[in-house]
Amino acid sequence: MVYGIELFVRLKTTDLVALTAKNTLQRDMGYRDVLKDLKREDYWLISVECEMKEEVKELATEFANKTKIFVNPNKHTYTIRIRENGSEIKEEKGDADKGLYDIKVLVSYDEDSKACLIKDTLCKTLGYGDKVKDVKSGIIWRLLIDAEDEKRAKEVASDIVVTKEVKSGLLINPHSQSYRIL
Amino acid sequence: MEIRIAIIQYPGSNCEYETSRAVAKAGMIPEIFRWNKDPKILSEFSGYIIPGGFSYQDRVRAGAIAAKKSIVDSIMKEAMIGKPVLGICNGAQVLVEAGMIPGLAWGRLEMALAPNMMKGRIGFYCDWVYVKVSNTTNAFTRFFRKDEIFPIPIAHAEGRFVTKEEGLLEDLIKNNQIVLRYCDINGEIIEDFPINPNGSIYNIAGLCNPSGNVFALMPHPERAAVVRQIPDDLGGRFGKVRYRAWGNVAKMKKGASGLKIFESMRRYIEDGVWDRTIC
Repeated sequence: MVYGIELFVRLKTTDLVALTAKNTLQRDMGYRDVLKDLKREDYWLISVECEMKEEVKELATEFANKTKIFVNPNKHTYTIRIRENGSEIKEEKGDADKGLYDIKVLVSYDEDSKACLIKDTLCKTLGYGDKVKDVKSGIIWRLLIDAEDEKRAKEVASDIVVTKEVKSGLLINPHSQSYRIL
Repeated sequence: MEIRIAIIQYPGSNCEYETSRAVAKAGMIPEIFRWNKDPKILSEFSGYIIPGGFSYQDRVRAGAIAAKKSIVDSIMKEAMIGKPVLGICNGAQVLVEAGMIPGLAWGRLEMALAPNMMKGRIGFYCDWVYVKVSNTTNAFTRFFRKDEIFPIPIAHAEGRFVTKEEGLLEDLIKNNQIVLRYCDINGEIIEDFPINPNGSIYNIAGLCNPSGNVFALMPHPERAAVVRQIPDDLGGRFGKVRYRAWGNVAKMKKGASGLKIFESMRRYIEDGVWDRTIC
């Protein structure tokens, strides 16, 4: 059976990319009133074929701890989630606190050559062979939005994510990237 | 006539000094202009160059953060009255992210410089490539002949011109906005790596706006501005020029093809074209 190993990788230290993006959005692009915080983590989805779920868990830990591809233990922390193939990413929704909405957005490149190369490395160089069926990569941006309701918060998040013009949007260039609000 | 060129220095720019030398060799006066200086002073300059490097460490996307800074608004205003703006490598990424290239609608994002697509490898790639001149009527290729082929170095990880706008490529061809295309040593346009080193659509290496005064160029002309910079082992006509220059300082300092881009910029400014241009 094919399972999906989801690997969420965060920096232990200050994430300067997220900080620069937040500062640019707030100071240069006028989102100070609506965007209250911005965080980011790397996202990997590794599809593997295994008999038992226990085996998948072992494999997931091995990918994170031993391969040294996805996680550098000196600077990263990670969480793992196993899902059966075909099931969608599900995010636990926190209650909106005082009009602040935590919107998570998965951003990925349309042509993900990095993921292809990682798949090759896992299959050929590290000897996982046919066990690894597919690798996908992306970034999950977490936007803390001040809005009257969740629908509006998602609209604002989309506006921040998609660069349509020089003064609108930052996190993806729609000509080479796609996004999905989780 | 004194021609002052502002070379914009962002945090992370790293080609401003060699660009300055190329500008000076082309007979203009370069001035490194820090991104956070008062942008009002920019109007005193005759032209602008955003050099290569890694502005803001390529955070989020190459050129994305730099494009949002107020200095880009001022450069865009100057470009709108026809002053020349050259973006080299990271500078080209800034111009695309700022919606100045291809510039069919100022400020609107119509393209991306996506990560390189190369057979069997990913990431940063640097090499000498050949490009063919498709347009000689813009501000930056006036000293070239149409279909002229010349070698030039590239060094980037995100240099693949792509678009999802329907009909845009056809418009670019129709408007004569495609200035340079990757080709082999004989001028043949081959889509495959390494002739097309990043998988760019239509082998685009350099693209200008419809008025021809804004030019985004992924290769580095400032690294091909004098004979000394051409590698010994390049081969072909240009390699021979370099080989013959060995031991002769005057020949080594002679201008090479990349310099013509800066010299064209100077000629465009001397002609005062922007006084008559309304974009």
